[in-house]
Amino acid sequence: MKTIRIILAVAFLVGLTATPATAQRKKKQKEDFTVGNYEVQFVRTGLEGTTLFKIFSYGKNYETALENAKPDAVKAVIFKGIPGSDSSRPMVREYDLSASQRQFFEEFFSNKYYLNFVTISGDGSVDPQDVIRIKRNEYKVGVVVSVHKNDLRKYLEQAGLVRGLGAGF
Amino acid sequence: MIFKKNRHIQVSFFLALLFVVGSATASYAQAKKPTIMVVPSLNWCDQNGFTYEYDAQGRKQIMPDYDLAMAKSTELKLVIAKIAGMMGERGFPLKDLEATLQSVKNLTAEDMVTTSRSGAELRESPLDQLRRVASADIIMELTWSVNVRGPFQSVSFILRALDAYTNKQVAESVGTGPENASATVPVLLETAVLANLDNFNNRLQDHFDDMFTYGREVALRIAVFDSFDGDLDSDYNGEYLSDIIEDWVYDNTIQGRFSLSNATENVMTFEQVRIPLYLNDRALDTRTWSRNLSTFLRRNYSIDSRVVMRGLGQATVIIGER
Repeated sequence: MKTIRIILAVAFLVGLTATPATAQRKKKQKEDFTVGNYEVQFVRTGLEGTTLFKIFSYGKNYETALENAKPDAVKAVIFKGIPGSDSSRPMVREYDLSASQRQFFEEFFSNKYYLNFVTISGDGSVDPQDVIRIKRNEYKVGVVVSVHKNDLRKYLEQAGLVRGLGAGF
Repeated sequence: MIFKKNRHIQVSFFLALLFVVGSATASYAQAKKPTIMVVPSLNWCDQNGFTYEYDAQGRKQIMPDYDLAMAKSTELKLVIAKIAGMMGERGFPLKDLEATLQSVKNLTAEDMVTTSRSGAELRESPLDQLRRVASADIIMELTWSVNVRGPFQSVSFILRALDAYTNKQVAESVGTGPENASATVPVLLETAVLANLDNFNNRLQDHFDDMFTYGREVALRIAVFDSFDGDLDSDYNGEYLSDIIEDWVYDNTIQGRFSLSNATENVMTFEQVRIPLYLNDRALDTRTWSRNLSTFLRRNYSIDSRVVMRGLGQATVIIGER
């Protein structure tokens, strides 16, 4: 009985200290939308206006990692660029963002507007070799995605976040 | 008194209106949009037999025959059309090479038959004839070659943007596409354009950004007619003429950016001169900017001069006569 009490007390204390930290981390993740834990590997230039690459996303399980692939892919094109592709340069430089622009991207990702610009390539099946269990609660999943970079660029140009080639003339 | 008060209100209203109109005009002031044209490179034209030779004082010169290339090469038309389409989508429509060549030909034909009622023909100097060619502010020079290795084919692609003002390369994209055993050359070329144009446009954007920040880069040469009574070292109100000109250039460039690469009593050569894109809410080009120097010299020192343009970004102000 005494042992159970001690265990419960310890669990309560751990919960008490862990909860704000988790919440803080989640909040931080939500704010720092430009910081993404993902890797990209260029596959090939897709149809006109699209780019095809493999994105490796992380998650606590397979489903979450796969779910993160789409927003991560869009973030990669916007904030990091895809090395080796025709979109090797990011569309937006993260350090250039003003508060209102940050607000725009927060809504863009939280309201899932990004889904208009990304699709999982093929039938959506994932190569078993691209599913890696890193830790007990961490999975890394690689999936080939197609990002409609031209449409995305136009959308960001209209929102005033990216300068058009003919802007200023 | 009432009349005076009304008059005061009227003047205030007029001034406010003037300010609003002025602000609106200022906010709509835009730089002259550079024209861009895609042309095949001399190297590509030569490899494909689209050149002609002419004798330049005993030395044979090879020139690209754009007319022949456009008439004979479907692949060239495909690549130009593809690039033009993609650039148009990025908000930057291109000047079409074929249409420009046709327009030059039409103009030449019209000029040949244009006479006045008294039978006088149009006056045209050899310089005018020389300059009557297809030109643009930025030339996108295109080269490609098909590489064959057994059953596989690939395309090496070079796209360069040359600023006609300075002859500097302002953007480039170079690459060799993946090998393919089944795709035809037009498909490989289309893929090469798709794979290269975005990076090329990024570099072009850098060039435009630089232009907006530091101004348009041009070159200015000062020369002296031998009929001029004096030279660039002549004294005007206690100052050398060359110093007066240099000060004017300093005052009329962005952040005083220019380099004086040559200065003698007869010639001054200014390079990397960064002129503003607008002046008094009007787009400014090299000719207008140089004419302002000419006007400055005439008004302040009673020195006549003539402005002669060489290309789009090189002006020569010749001192002595108009």
